[in-house]
Amino acid sequence: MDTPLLEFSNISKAYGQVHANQNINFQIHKGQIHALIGENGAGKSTLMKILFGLEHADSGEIRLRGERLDAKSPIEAKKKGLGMVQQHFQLAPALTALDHVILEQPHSFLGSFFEKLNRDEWRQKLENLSEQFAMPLPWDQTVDQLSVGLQQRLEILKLLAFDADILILDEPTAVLTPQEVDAFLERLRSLRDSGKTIILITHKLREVIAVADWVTVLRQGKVAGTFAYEGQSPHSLASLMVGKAFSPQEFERKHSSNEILVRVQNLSCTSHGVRKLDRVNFEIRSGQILGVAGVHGNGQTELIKALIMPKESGLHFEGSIKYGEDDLLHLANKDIRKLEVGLIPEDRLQQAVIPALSAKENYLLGRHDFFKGRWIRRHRRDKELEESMEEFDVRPRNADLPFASFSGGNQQKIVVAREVNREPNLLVVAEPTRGVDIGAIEAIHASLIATRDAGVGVLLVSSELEELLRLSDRIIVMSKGQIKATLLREEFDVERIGCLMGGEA
Amino acid sequence: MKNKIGPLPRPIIFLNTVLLVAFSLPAFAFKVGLVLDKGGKDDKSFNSAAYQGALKAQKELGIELKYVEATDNNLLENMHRSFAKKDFDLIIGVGFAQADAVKKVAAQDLSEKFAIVDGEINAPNVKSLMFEEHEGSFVVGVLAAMASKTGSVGFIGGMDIPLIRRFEMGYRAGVLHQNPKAKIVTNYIGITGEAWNNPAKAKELALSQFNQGADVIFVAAGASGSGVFDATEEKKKLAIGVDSNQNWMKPGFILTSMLKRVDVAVYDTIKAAKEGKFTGGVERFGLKSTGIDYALDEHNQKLITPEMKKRAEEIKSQIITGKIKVPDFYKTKK
Amino acid sequence: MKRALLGFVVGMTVCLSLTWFAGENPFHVLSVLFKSAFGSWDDLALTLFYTTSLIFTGLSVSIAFHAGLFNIGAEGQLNIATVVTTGVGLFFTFWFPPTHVAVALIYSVASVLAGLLAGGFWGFLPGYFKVKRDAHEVILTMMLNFVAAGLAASFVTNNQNPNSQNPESSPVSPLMSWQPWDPLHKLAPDTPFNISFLFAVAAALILGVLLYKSRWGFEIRSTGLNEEAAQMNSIPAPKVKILAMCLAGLFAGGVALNEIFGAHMKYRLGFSPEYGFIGIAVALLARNHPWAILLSAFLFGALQKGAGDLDLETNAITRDFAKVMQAILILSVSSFSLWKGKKK
Repeated sequence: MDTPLLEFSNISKAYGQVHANQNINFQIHKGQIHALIGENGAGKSTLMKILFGLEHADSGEIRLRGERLDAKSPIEAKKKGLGMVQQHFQLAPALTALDHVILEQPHSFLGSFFEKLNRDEWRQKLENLSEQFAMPLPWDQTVDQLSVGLQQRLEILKLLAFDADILILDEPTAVLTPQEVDAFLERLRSLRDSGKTIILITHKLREVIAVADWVTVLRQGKVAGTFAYEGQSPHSLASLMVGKAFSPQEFERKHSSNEILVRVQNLSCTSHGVRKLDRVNFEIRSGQILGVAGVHGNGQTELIKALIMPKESGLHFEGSIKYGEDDLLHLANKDIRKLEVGLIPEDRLQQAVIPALSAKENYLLGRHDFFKGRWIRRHRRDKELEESMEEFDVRPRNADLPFASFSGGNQQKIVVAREVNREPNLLVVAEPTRGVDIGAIEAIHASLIATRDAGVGVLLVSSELEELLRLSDRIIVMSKGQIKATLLREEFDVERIGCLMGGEA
Repeated sequence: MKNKIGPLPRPIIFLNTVLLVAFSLPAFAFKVGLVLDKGGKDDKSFNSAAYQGALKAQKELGIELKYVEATDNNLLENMHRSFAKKDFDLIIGVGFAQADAVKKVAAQDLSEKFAIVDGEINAPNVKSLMFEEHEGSFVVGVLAAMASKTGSVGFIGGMDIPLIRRFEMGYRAGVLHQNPKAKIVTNYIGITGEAWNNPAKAKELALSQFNQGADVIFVAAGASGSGVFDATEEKKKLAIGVDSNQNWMKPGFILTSMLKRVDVAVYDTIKAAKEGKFTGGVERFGLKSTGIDYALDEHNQKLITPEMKKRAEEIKSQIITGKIKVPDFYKTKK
Repeated sequence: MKRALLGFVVGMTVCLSLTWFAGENPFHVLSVLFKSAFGSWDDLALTLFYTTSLIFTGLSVSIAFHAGLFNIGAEGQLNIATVVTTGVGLFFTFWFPPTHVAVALIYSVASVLAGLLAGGFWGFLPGYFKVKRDAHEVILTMMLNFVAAGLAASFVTNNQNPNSQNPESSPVSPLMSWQPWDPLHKLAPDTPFNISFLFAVAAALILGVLLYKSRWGFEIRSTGLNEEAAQMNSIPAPKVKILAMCLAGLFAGGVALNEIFGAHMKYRLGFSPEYGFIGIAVALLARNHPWAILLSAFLFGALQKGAGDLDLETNAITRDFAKVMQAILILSVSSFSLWKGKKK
């Protein structure tokens, strides 16, 4: 083969004691979709940051078309034809899509004061580009009016507008609905066919199977394998990623008590004139997992708020949520949590923890059993946390580190341990495995099943259908604030649920 | 007036110092410490005057001068004590705020000589320089009444404290002495130290007084006074300045200034002390000793008619001889 | 802490080079500053007198910071506290004149408590309106500073000390003074330094423990760092914020101890050289840690005192230069500390 487009040789990077990248060697060829996969914390992001000039390698070099690439900054990397879409979009809500592109055009500092903005010319250019790649976009709408999918499209078009020919996409499908994902992957293929090279960072094997030409697997900062993707089974990829043979298996489930723990009746919620919840009725039973399926934004968020913080949420709810003697809708979060209600919220860093505090302090959140009057029962807390970290294999095993310094999977393990070990009667769980690697997913799933088996009623909101199918005893499907159907485990059917999520009866 | 050390080129300062040292070397220099009030030496009014007096003494008498500006009142005592420790020959505190500090430090170090402007302390080693502001206010009150066409005049005080009330009372008496039917509008800018340095508010008050019909305003408000002068120019009315001669600030619109010759008092005190004639006790500066006066110069020649001048001189001599008793706020209050 | 120290050294170097440009010998300036803080008992005591007030306001600002609020109202809070302390003290003095030292002591303690509560109330107001009405605490606290200044001025006008030209209230009964039994005052009787220094140090030490070891400290910090997570996890964030502002006011009110019964026995208008605002710098420099505030308050106390001494001992440096130094030090120390934050 001729010279590869990109070549990583002996890249190493350490943060203090942690080796994020160790002697990374592999090549990327022109015109391919190159999947870079690995668990969270495997070193994918670090490697891409080095490539894009956001970080600098301690040793080793990157060659672009045979020449040494030593990007000191993203600006330099962009000039060499690299483009990156971060996992979190970097867009200003009040600007139009068109202005975003104009804003990013390369210019000299002084020039930016004198240059005349030629919107029409840009619009023409961009519309041609949209057409060429079959990615239409309403260029004059402001970003806050664009759906997440369109925002992502804007990010990609932006790169194309500046002639990037290597596109780095960091977890691009994390924000998309299943339907959108397929269309998105299709578009990736057409981009590749037009000659672009794509580096796809992901931990979703399904995507790899669908589009990748070449796969590089990172594990614990090292390359675990790099090969043309042909005839590989997803299982072998998964075992490469986690380092052991991997097969998602059916859990054995204990027979559940079937006792009704929570009864939600006629729950409605209107916010800014939109019916977020519309006469919702369902029950959560002890010893069962009730899955809530639905495309994000169809009332799940409001449902969780009604259960966990009806007063603090600022929303107005009608109906009732009977939990034993109490109606949760009339209680403050503090009192609800005291009734042994556990919570694993969907946005980990924003809702579940305080990233700047240590793991130890985060382990106190929501745990009234660790407080005695005004004081903290530190010994009890330390002991339980130590055991939990052992049990969930949290790394590094240092509870004094700031929470933010753990990888996503390890963070989530701590959160799950905190909520499960409080021995709740009711556990409200949302997106428990978002941004979490496969190893952690297994541990978290097992823990949720164990909790269920211990007789806890679990409400599980997830946009990962596989997760719901695997864990739930029943599934309710939500669409536009209404419950479209309740399915028992034996009735689970991916296609039917998919249709119901789309709003079809 | 604007003779400040700051903007002078360094070589000149250097030269000054060399000259000073040269002149004062043979005999050891007479050292004077000057503690200025929060307003600082550039307030174009009270502290400026004290500083000018000391500067004049430095030039003419060859004393060694060191001045400090108070950052906050907690430090005043410390500053006086520092000067005393360094064996300065005379320490001058400017402003009533320093009275407590001077009193305390003076009592602890009886060998040290102190002077204080505007504060009354009875101690053998402290000279209190007091001014009979009400006398001068009376005279400018008479002039204001004569200059007014509407029969209505104004008074704007800075901070509402007894000292400024004393100005007001004298002024009021003077106006009514000349024109018993005159109307007098009075305003104070504030009740905190900010009032000395708030020209915007002063201007606002002046404009409102003009609207109420006043056409001459006496302003005793430190650096805030410039706001009143602005308003006066805008409305083509008259104002009366205070402390220093402020006639030059808006020629043609400032009728006169009531002079409080802090500079003279400071200079004389330094001179006496240097000549070994320092005496403790209270010295009062009034019209008689010309420590209090009204200003007449080329800037207001046209505003003060010969008739007005004659009347003012007449009033002055009547006050000096005791024929007119000017009410004193300090005495009426007690 | 190392970084902060490095920042301090760099900032100091910049300041001293500036003095060199102004025509002073920087070593002379340094020695003046050093002597100003440590030169004699009296110097040290006066520095510590400033330090005392700055510890209180530094704590006030920092506890609000911990709850995610920016309290620029410490100036108003300390003014109200001092006015109320004096007011209650005067009330006792005039209506129930103390005859015995023990009674006077009870009076003084009661006055101080009233003052602290008033300070707390002045902190409660912005906290309450922030939480209930979503009003911005920066605007509120700033405006309340003006209200407090106005109230203080009217208090002084109505209780003017007849024996003084200064805008100050009548003194409270001398029996109520703490000086006769104050061991710290005896160390430096010529300065206003007093026992309140110990109270301030104790307050900082205790706050440090509570903030990092107790439940409410945890709740305050959690609320400040991530309000949403706090609210979802049993922490009543709105209440915590109001509480933090009350405490902020209370701590700022501590200045009243230092000013009234410790030293001057009367309310003097403008007695505070903006302790409340310097407190912001103190808290910033200490990165809001109560124990570090002890050090940073001392540093700013020394600078406050040094301002006058620099004016006195040098030819080119005026009191304004001390302000420049304060600014440079805050800038350098905080930027060095932040640099560390980014590097990690």
